[in-house]
Order: sequence, then structure tokens, then C-alpha cells
Amino acid sequence: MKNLLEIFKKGVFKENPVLILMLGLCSVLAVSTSVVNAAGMTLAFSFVLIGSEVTISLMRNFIPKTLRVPIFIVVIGSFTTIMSLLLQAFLPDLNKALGIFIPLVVVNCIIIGRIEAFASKKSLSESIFDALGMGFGYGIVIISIGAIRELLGSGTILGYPVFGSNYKAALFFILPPGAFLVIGIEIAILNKVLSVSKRKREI
Amino acid sequence: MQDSKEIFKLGITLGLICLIAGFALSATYSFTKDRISENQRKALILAQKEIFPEASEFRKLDISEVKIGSATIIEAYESIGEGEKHIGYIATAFTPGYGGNIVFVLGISYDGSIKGVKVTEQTETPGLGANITKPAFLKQFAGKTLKDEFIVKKDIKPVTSATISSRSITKGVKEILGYIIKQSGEKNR
Amino acid sequence: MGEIQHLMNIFINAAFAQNFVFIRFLALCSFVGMTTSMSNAVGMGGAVTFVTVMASVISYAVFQFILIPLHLGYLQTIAFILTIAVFVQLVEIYLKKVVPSLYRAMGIYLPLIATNCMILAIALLNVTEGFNLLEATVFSFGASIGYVLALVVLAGIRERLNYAKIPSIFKGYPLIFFIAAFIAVAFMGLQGIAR
Repeated sequence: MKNLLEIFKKGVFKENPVLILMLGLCSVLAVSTSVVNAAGMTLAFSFVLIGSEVTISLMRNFIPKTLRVPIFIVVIGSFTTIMSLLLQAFLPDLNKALGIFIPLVVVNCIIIGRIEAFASKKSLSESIFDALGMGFGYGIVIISIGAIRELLGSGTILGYPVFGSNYKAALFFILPPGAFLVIGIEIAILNKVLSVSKRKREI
Repeated sequence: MQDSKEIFKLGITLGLICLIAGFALSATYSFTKDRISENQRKALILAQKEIFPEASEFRKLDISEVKIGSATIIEAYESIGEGEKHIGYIATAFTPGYGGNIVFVLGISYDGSIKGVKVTEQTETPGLGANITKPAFLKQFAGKTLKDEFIVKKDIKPVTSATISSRSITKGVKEILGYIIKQSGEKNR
Repeated sequence: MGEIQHLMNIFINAAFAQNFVFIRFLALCSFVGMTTSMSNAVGMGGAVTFVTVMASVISYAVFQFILIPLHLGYLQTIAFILTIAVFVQLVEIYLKKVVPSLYRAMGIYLPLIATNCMILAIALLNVTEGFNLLEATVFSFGASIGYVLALVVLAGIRERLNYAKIPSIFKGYPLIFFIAAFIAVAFMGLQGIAR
């Protein structure tokens, strides 16, 4: 069990897919204009990630080496399409808000990366915890960026105005440059935290 | 011989996986497709009802997607009130804006004046051009006819610091208004 | 004349006004990873341009001649990504056999291109924007040029960064994103030039 928790923790901190592995950046920056959008994206992404890692892990002994890539694509693509159809049917507003980034989950480097490096080689339980960890790590980043951008860029949190309805927020943060700036700051902070803890351990 | 046996095995494996995937996909599709088209229908009715709350029915008109100037009309309905009374027309169209296409719904009363305009999709600059969705800006169109100029900063007050977005939607509304009135005039002949 | 102007509009929109890297947030993984040197940037840019335009056309054909007649529109995502992956694989095999020097130059980029979200996005956008084949080709070419521009600009800056003193907390990726933020501001000024 300790091993599984280690795998989960790695996905959140040391091997955070977005801030450390630098994967999945497109969706993180594009959809983080509000907390609701960011949370929705996390759910959509996690659904496909968990489904794909579980399926591939279950099948891992039956996948011929030469068919690896096409099979991965079929599995990830199927989960993405299923997720997309479910969203269109049951959460149409979220579907509209996330737009083109729903089908783009299929090429999200995190999913392909984890399947290639992990799920295709490790057991089912390990793959589940890896998917959960990576999904959680992704979620923390995109939701925190979403919170900052929404708060500073629209003056609201979860749609509720925080500074009063006449407050003119710094639009910059909702716009593309703001996204780049906020993620840059988050990476810097995480790097600092990791290097400080590394030095502490060396002492 | 070993080679062709290998290829056969690979083919079977891939085929099996595609079969399972295909089954899962078509199952999900048939499970969701009614709900999806229902959602789309509901969204359209919502926009139409907002402009013509007194209408009891919207009858689809047989027009094809056609470009008028810079705007493109997608579909049009006739608004029918109680007792088969013709109240007006309602059209869905899109026109290029500052950041992409602006999709809007235009309601026209039977006397040729605008009943209302609603912007349903846009990718203008948030906080600036995106404010063309606000009623404060859109209500300016109500009551206008083809006799009006539809010129931003003359008879239409633009959204602050978003002249291009304001101009785009104004031009689009004028073009669609002209088209509907022309088409309905020809129908009545 | 109107037709040419319309196509120019699409091109300028795709390359500048709605630049795929700085405004649409696509292809960021390669933007960050392939700009360590100008040669990498140009190489990746050229490879992506080629794959994007070709894959765009093929996906368009798949959509028009296979998906629509069979009412399988909802499978467009999976069909397009398979098309792109197969195409990239074929290109790789062809280059390896026929033009090995080009393969050695492009070889490392090719597997990465299949996961480039911009290519799939363009295939999907061609459908949702309702482009005809010519418009789709111009659109994908314009988008690719915008992508090459983005990579080249950042690679140029990064090469010069090697000679600058940077606080350790910002070294590496944080600084790259700050730079991207400024370039994005510049590109936002280009919005609205296409009507």
C-alpha cells in the first residue's frame, strides 16, 4: 500500500505532469479562465486518463509490440469520444466552455506519456494510483491557475463577485499573456520549494 | 510462413480491439444522441423565446445557408402567436468579429422593425468586445428598421473600447435584417 | 479578387490574428521543448508545416467521403488522430527508405509531431468552420506559418538568453513563460487585422 501511495504522491509533486514534466500545457493555459472551467476540464481529463490507464494495464500482456501505438490511440480516442458525447448530453454548458479542448484530450501528452511509460508495464493497482496522482496533480495546477486568473481577471470566484460589482478587474489575467505569466510564476515557486527541500535533505 | 502467421495474429488482435472500441462508441452514441439533439433544440428555443416571449410556435423556413455581405444566415423561423397569428421572423446567423465569428439571433417583427438581438456565441476580447452580449448594448437595436443607418457612433453607441466588435455585429444585424425583409417581401408577392 | 482576398483573410487570421501558439494556446509542448536552438526550431517548424497541411487535406477527405456518408460524424476525433498518426508513420517509413538524409534531419521530430495538438485542432477546425478544401488548405498553411514564426522568435531569444544573468528561481521554464507572455501581448495587437 505504501508503494501505491508513493506513486500517487509522485504524480502530485515530484513528477507533477504540468509543472515538472511540462506536459498537457495547452489545456491548462487555455481552459484556466475560471475555477469552474478548470474543474470541469480536470474531470474530463481524469476520466480519459483513468479509463485509458486501466484498460491498457489490463491488456498489457496482450499488446504486440508493433501494435502499441495504434492500440493506444484507439483506446485513448475511444475514451475521449465517449467523454465528449457524455458531456454534450449531460453538461452542455461545460461542453461549450471547454470547446475544442475536449477532443484535444486525445493528444494530451500526459495520457500518452503515462500509458507508454507506466500503464503498459505496471500492474492494475499501480496504474490506477498513477492515474489518480497525475489527475490530481493536473487538477491542482489548472484549478489554482484558474482561481488566480478568475480572481484577478474577473474579480469573481466561482462566478461570485468578490470585490463588489463595480470593481474593474485586471483583464490581463483572463487574456493569453496572463495565462503565460501565472504559470511561469507557479513553476518558479514550485522550483524554489523543491530546491529548498532538496537542500534541507542534503543537510 | 511464420511471417504471414504473425501478421494474421496482429490483424486479429487489432481487429478485435477496434471491434470492442467500436461497440463501446456506438453504444454511447445511441445512448446520448437523443439527449444531445434535445439539448440543441432547447438552447435554440430558449434564445427564440427570449426575443418573442409571446410566440407559441416557431416554424422553420426553408432557406439554405447563404452569405449576405459579410454575414452568413444559417436558418430562419417564422414566429407564430396565438391563433396562427404571424408575429414575425427570427433568424440565426454569424458574422466575422474581432476575434472570430459572432453567432447571433435576430428577431424581426412583422412590420419590419427589429424585435431584439441576442448574441449566442462569440470569441471577442473578454471584458471589452465580449460586452456586445450585454443587454445594455443590444437593446439599442430594438425598434430599428431598414430606414435607420446602423452606423456605430452615429445611431448605435459602441461598447467602450470595442469599436470593431460593435461595428461587426451592427453590420451583421443590418445585413440579415435586409435579407429577411427582402425574402419576406418576395414571398408575399 | 474577392475570392483571393477572402483566402488572404483566412491566412492572416490563422497566422497572426489568431496565432495558434500565442492566442489559441496550442502546440505548447513543442513550443517549449523545441526552441533550445534555432536549428531545432526551424527543423520542427518545417516538419510540422508539411505534416499539418497534408494531414489536413487527408482528414478533410476522410470526413467528406467516409464519415459524412456513413453518419459517423461523432467519430471525427478518433478518425482524424488515426489519420494523422498513420500519415506520420508513412512519412517516417518513406523518408527512411527513400531520402535517408532527410530522415536523419527530421527523424527525431516525426514521432513528436503526431501528438502535436495543433494538427488535430486544425483538422477539427476545418470541419467546425465549414471550410471547403481550398480554404482548409490555406487555413492549415497559415496556422503552420504562425507556428514557425512563434518557434523561431522564441528560439532566437533563448539563444541569446544563454549570455544573460538570470536569477536562479526564474532560470529555465519560468522565464520562457514570462517571455511568451510579452510576445502574446504583441500578438494580441494583431487581432482584428483580418476581417
